[in-house]
Amino acid sequence: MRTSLALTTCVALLCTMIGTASVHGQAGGEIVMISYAGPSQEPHRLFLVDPFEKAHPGVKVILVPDESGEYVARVQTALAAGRPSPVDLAPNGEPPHLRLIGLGLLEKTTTSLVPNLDEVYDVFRQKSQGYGVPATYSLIGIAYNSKRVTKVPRGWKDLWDPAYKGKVGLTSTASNLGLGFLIAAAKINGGDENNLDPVWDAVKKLQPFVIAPNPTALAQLFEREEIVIGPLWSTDAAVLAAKGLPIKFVKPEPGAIAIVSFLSIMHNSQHVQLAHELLNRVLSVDYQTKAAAKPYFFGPTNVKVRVPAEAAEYIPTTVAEVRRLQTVNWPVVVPKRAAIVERWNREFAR
Amino acid sequence: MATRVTHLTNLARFWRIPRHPGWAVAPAVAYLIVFLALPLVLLFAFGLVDIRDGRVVPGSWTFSHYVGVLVDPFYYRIFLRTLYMGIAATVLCLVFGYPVAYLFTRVGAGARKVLLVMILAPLLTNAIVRAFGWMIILGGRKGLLNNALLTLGLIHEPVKILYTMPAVLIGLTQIQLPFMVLPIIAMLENQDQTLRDAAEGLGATWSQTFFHVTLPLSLPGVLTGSALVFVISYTNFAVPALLGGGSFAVIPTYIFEQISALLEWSRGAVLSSLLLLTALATVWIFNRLSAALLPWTK
Repeated sequence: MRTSLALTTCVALLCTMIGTASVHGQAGGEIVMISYAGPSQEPHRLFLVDPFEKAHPGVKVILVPDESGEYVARVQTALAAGRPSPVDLAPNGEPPHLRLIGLGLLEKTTTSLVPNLDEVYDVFRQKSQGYGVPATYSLIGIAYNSKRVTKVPRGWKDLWDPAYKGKVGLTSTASNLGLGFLIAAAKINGGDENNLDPVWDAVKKLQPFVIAPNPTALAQLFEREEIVIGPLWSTDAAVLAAKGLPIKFVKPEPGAIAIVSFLSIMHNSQHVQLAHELLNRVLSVDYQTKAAAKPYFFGPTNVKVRVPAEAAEYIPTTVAEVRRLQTVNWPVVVPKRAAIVERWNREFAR
Repeated sequence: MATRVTHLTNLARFWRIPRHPGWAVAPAVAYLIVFLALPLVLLFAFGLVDIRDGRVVPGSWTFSHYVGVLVDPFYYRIFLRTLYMGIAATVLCLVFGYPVAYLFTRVGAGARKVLLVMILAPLLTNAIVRAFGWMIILGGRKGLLNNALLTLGLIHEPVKILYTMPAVLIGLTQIQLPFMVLPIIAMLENQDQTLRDAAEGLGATWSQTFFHVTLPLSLPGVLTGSALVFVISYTNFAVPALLGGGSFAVIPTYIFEQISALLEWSRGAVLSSLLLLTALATVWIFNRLSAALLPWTK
């Protein structure tokens, strides 16, 4: 009995060590790619990594879920010490993309290795500034529980409707979702990226609201009916609806916020060649069409992708609709990000 | 027995083996220096330099990060909240834990086994898993708690408890309870039964015996348990992060945000150092208190 217990312990320890090594290690053709948490990770797994691994026997891609950018500190530490990056590829929304370019953590894309870039909308391609590829875009709109909300929201200002008092959920400005919402709220209150003063009073009038630590947790709050309305990523709203929950998504007036997500190669990655192939695959019509379909609804950046009708609630289906989207002047916002989060904490931390 | 020990001691003297071989602790000391002392020194140092783009700016020694935090009332407020979190969790653990420990020492062997499993059960699962369990119980209209209260008609609007301080305290208390119960059990077990018998023989009631004999003699266990629970709660990250929600202002979650979301390494280092210092200071106060309150333990 004692021997078997000791044996089990040893095996368990060994497994843990191997597991840890494989996440951090580089040996044996292992590519470490940061991905989303929860069901949003599936397109990466099913339509990108699985076909890629089939085409390259012996190469393994490890998807590490990380929505709060914890990997950045690890990459920074490794690069500062002159070690290879522990992460090869990572998806990043526009704000972290700009920040990581500034920090020198991203590898410039060799366009000759990514022929599919020619099929990408110019407006998205320009936003990448030559680093990574614009893999997809997501919308920040308003999600609501159609069973508990009687008045269907149409615009951003409807969040302030007294009917929803105390049932609104937000995320802090430390997340892109919270920051995107803050900018949208500033714009309907006479402010913009350069002048955020009006927004703080406006958000104060939304109190009491529930603050979730991250977008995934906010989605869980919808699921548990802790909240009935709030700004949410279209993709998260779609996942909730697919579970059979009465969650609807609207692209609120004067426009939903579109945030491009780039897939980028990290500086000092040991698998630059293979990583470029993953960049090319993420732009392919095949991947993008599958990722745009139910239940994921990832906004396609490839012009040739035809958005399925079932996706109309969550992503624009026509070029005209794409034009109506609001974007955020991130180069202005990103340098002020720490100050914005600081202000948020001082106003709303409990 | 005694002669055997003397014999061994003489043997050791003969071979000039010191009675307390200092070199035996060398590996532990080396381990502590490399993996505890050095990182701690680095942590303090990170708060004293500017860090840009993940690198220490050479020659940028400055007190500005410490001063920035120390002159800011905002941080005092968060530290006070963190202190409140630690103290409240400790008091709750004591209130719930003492009766359990007392019961444990007053029941038969069979009941003891059952009790011990119940006391240790919280340690058998990961704190994160348990926190998620509390989310299911406390969260929203569909949470077990609200669902039950709504079904029973006791409330008409769901109670807001998830993502509040009470939720964090509930989580901390449940997770930390064994650290309070076990030291108290140890103290109660070692008590001399004859003292209580003497009290009863002199006509003391149960409550007189308890408050004048049992409780005072168990105070060292209470203080040990309290110090343990306080330090673990005061510096806890997982529970406030999961049950406190976003923008829940306690120092551990704030440090996490400073470093992982904002890459403000210096500010994170300053707050970590201050958290460590205040935790150490509290333990020191606990020690002084127990020395002052319990002169007979010396």
